Formats: sequence, structure tokens, C-alpha cells
Amino acid sequence: MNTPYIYLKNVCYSIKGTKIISGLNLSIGRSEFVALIGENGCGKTTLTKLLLGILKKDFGEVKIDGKYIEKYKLHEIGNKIGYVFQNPSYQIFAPTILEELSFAMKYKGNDEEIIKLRTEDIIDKFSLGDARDVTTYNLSQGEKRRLAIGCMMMNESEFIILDEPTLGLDAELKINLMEYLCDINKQGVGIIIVSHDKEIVSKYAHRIILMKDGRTNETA
Amino acid sequence: MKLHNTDPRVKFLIVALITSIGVISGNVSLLFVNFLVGLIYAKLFDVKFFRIIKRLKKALYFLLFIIIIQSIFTVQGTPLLKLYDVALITDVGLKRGIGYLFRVMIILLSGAIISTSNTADVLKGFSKLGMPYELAFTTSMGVRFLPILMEEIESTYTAIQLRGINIKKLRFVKRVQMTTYLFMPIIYSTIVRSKKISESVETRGFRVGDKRTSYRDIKFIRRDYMICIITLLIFVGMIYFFELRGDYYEGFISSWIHKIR
Repeated sequence: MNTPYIYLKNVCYSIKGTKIISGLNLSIGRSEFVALIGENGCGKTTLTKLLLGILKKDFGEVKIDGKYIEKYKLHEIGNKIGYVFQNPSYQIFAPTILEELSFAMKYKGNDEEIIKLRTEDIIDKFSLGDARDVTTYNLSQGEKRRLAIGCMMMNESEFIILDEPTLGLDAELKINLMEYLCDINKQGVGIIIVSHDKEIVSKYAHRIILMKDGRTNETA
Repeated sequence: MKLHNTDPRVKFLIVALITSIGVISGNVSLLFVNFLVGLIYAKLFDVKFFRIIKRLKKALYFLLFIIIIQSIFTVQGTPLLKLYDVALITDVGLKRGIGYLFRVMIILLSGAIISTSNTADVLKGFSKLGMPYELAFTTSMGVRFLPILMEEIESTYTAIQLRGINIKKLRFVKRVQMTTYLFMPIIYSTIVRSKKISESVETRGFRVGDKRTSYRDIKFIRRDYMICIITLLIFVGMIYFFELRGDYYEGFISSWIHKIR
């Protein structure tokens, strides 16, 4: 395997003396599609937050694209890796869908015409057309999740991490989302998907990593 | 000696006294001593005050800015710092600024002292003092949700940065715009949450009966009476020395400011 995009060596993380992640080793390639599964509270979300530098590890090494995580600022990580929170309400802050989707591109000074085209494309792909005129705060959980994923896609990240993206979606939307993820993965975007939905992720992911008591165990 | 399990009503008394002096008195020396007394109580109640200060570091810079502004815009008193003929800082302005700093510190101390009791005890304390239960309940609920609001603001801030935006490098106007994005969802979620909580407590029969029984109770013990008496004596002494005897005990901060002059 080439240099891994994500590399963790002997990573430990604890909260008030309780070990959440203990001696975790993991490496994920640049365009791999990896599913992270495990029981509630086994440390899946904590692991994703350690990868992004939202949480600081107690011990060990974390490298993103060959560089130590400590060398990055949060916005630099944001430019490389897209992240969908477990609770999408936390990452939706603009009052309208259009404003929410175009937020990052506008702040980065992109051309209005390109922003409009991409926004419409995402609205169409994630079936958000019906909710176009609804205040984002009033969207259903499923719509909020789709919007959060859509916002991340607007960023055109080289790697994406999705924390429980299938929660609150019906069967058809789940399949649509997974097929969309497969498509972008074929274009070279690496994916980590954290999920309880073992059945659906096992159909699409290249590799399934089972987490237990803060450690990983490759299952397929 | 740690007193963190003291009856919450004792803490209410201490907080009421230090905040009253903080609001009423304009005497900087009294405010300083009041702050020190509050700090001693905080230590006894096992408050990690300096850890709170560390967390509020950014807000403290803003506080410092307000103190300087307050000093600059006070024209009364003898000038300590002049720019040509314009008095930038006067002794009265400096005293006011320092007084303002102590007042804010006293408010922080008060909140920290009350938070050493658990919410159920604070609620019980309020209702035993005669506050209507509904009011005590809503107050304690509000306090309980403050950390959650802080967490939500932090998450939104992280989410904005994870979209690849360097907030620190934004221009002032865009940064101000950003605060709207930070606070709008919080305000909205707070309104929705309060509505949901009210529906939830109603469906669980909140205040159906007139009398509410409680498994957990709070009782005044001898130690609590002792603390109350000592506290009252300390505050009466402070007011006597610093306020009633006026100029005679003007206090060392005032004399220090005079020495600078």
C-alpha cells in the first residue's frame, strides 16, 4: 500500500481517567472506502474526532496525508477532510438551505455562477428541492442529515468522514446515499463511514473495521 | 477545610451579601476586600476559581478594554495621564474602572459558589426560602442548560472551521456576520428546547397537586448557623470600617492612586 492517508500509531485517549481509546493502530489509504462499526460507546465518534484534531490525543501518533495532526490548524483539516457530525443540527447554522450550502464557497470567494450551479446540483442529488423554502432549523432530522452531507460535498474534500449518516433516512434514501458515496469514491475520494447499519455498509465498503473497547479489529 | 456540602441557603446568604456590596458600594477598597472575602469563601467551597478565569481568558481581554474605556471617558478627578490638554486617565476614572473589574469578578465568584451545590439542593433551597416552586424550577433548569448551550456554540464554531474557514483571518465585518451564524441556531434551539421541556413536564403531571413531596431534603445544621453568624459579622465589620467611617479608613487602593498622582 502507498503512504496511508490516515495513520494512527498506539493512540490513547481518556476522559477523566476513563480510557476511551487505548493503543489504537490504524492506517487507511487515500481512496479507500472504510466502514467503522461497533457497539454504542466503544469510541467510534471519539476516534473520528481525534482524526480531525477536534480532540487531542493523550499519547501516540496521528498523521494525515503524511503530516502530523498537530501541524494542522482546524480549518486546514476542514479543507482536506469533510466531516458530517452525528448530530447534524450542530453543523447547520444558516437560515436557508441555499445559504447553508453556499456558505463555505462564498467565504472562500468563489464565483457566484459556479456556486449557484453546484448548489442546484447538490439540492437535486440529495432530494432537498421540496425543503428549499423551509427554514433550516425546521427541517426534519433526515433532511438535516442530507443537507449536512450536501454541505460537505460542496467543499470537494479529498477525504470524507461521516458519523452515522444513515440515521433517520428511509431505505430508499439510504441506498441513494450509499450509491452516491460509491460514485465519489470511484472518483478517488476516500471515505470513512461510522455506522450501526452493518447490513448496508457491508454491501458498499471495501473494508470493515470493528471497534471494541477503544481498539480496532479488522473483520473484512 | 472544605465546606462544599454546606446548606445552599448559606451559600445564598454569602452570595447575596457579596453581590449587594458589589452593587451598592462605590468604595474601591471595600470592593477589593469584598472580592478577597468572596475568594476565601470560594476556596472553602472548593471552587476552582482560577480555572474558571483561565477558561474565560478571551472575555477578560474584553473586560480590560471596557475598564480602559471607562477610565478614559471619566472626566472628573485629577488627571494621571494626559495627552496634550486632554486627560486620558484620571484618578476617579481609574477607581471606577478597577471597581468595575471587582464587580465582574464578584459576579463570577457568586455563580461559582452557587454551582458547588447540586441542582436539586439549590431548587430545594429556593423553595424553602419561599420562592414559588415553578419559578425555582425554571431558574434551575436555565442554569442546568448553560453548559449545553456552551457546547453547542463550540460545536458550531468547530463546524464552521471544518468547512475550511479560518475565522481568525476574516475581516472585522465578516467576523461580526459570523457571530450571527453562531448564535442564531442557539437561540432557535433554546426556544424549541424550552417548548419541548414544558410539554414534557406537563405530560408528567408537573404541579398537578398543591403539595409536592420530596425524597431528598436539606437541613440546617449547627455548622451552617455558625457560618451564617460569622459571615454576617464579617460583612457588618467590612461595611463599618469602609463605609461608615468614611475618609478615616479610605483604604489602601485609594491612597495608592493618590500616591501615583
